[in-house]
Amino acid sequence: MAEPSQLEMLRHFAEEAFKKAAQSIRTLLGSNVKLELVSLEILPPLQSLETIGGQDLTVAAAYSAIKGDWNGVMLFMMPLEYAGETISVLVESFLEQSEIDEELAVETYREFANIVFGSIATALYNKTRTKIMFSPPKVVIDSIMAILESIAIRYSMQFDELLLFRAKIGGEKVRNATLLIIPGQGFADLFYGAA
Amino acid sequence: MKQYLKLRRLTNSVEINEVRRGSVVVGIGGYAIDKSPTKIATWALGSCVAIIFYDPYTSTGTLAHSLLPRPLRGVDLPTKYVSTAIPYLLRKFKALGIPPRRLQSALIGGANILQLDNGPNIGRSNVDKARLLLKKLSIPIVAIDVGGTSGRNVVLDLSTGTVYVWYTRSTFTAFSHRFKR
Repeated sequence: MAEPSQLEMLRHFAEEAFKKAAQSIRTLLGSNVKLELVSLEILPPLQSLETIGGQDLTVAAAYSAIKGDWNGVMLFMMPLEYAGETISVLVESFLEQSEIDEELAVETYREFANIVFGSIATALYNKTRTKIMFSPPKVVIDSIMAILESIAIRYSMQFDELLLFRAKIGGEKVRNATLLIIPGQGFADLFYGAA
Repeated sequence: MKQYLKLRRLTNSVEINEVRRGSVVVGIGGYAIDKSPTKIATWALGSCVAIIFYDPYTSTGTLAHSLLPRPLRGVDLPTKYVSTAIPYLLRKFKALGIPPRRLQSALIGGANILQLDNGPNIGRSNVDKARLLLKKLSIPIVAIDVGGTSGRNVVLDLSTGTVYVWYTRSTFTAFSHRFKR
């Protein structure tokens, strides 16, 4: 069980990582982006489904596996309609074209997530001095519950509790986005479990 | 008139809204058992599997939303795990005077949504476990929609024995008018 001081330290890591992610998004979209919430929760894996919620919501999710000194998952999600708007902005800004097909939309979202995850991984490395890499992001468009359930169940097979770093990001061109970092094997031993 | 269990996939949103209206919704790890004309539903099945039993003689049916093939530690909810859900549900039918030989079954779900490289394919394990147990019990699986990479929603209409299924996976182009179709 983590001590309050250890939780405070982890929260600081999360804040720094999410701030860097928000900065990247701000730079990419050229508009104001707000970090609306940063939270750190330790809870039973399946309870994370209730915490994040939104049963009927269809989201565009990009996710990457974290590997290295510790393992985990990073997830970036937006309601599908808002993700479409963000993709339009990115395609118009960087490719100067307005017609978007599915392949281009998925690739744009994947690259967007890649940059955001890269910022997070760099910030976590700088703060924690742990070596981590992340896999190329994959994109899935599905019900938020079906996506989260798949992660939560996987974690429930290994852990009684999971650590959930969560941020909500909002702005004119990136509405209602959620970023999650869910550390897995190795993280607790490094930062609080062995204490 | 005796109704048998059957599968129907839906894609039309008007029909989906009509089917889901008034359903008793089962949460993750939970179950419901009832008679016609009740509709029992569960939403957003990812790697989980919906285990359905139906008695055509009394139009009594059950739906459980099971997460894992078997318990790893203690059993908190019997319907949370495939290995404990099936015997538990059969006991519920027995208590109603319905023997297993009268039952038909359906399996829905067991997808591999995130296709993560490491770790087991929990969806497939859930389905395999259910198939194995049902085979041992000689309960026929008459409706099945499992695997793949898409989440599923399910409604069991006890008045007709129909298992309605629709996928939750979508595309950018299906949703945004700005994108080419």
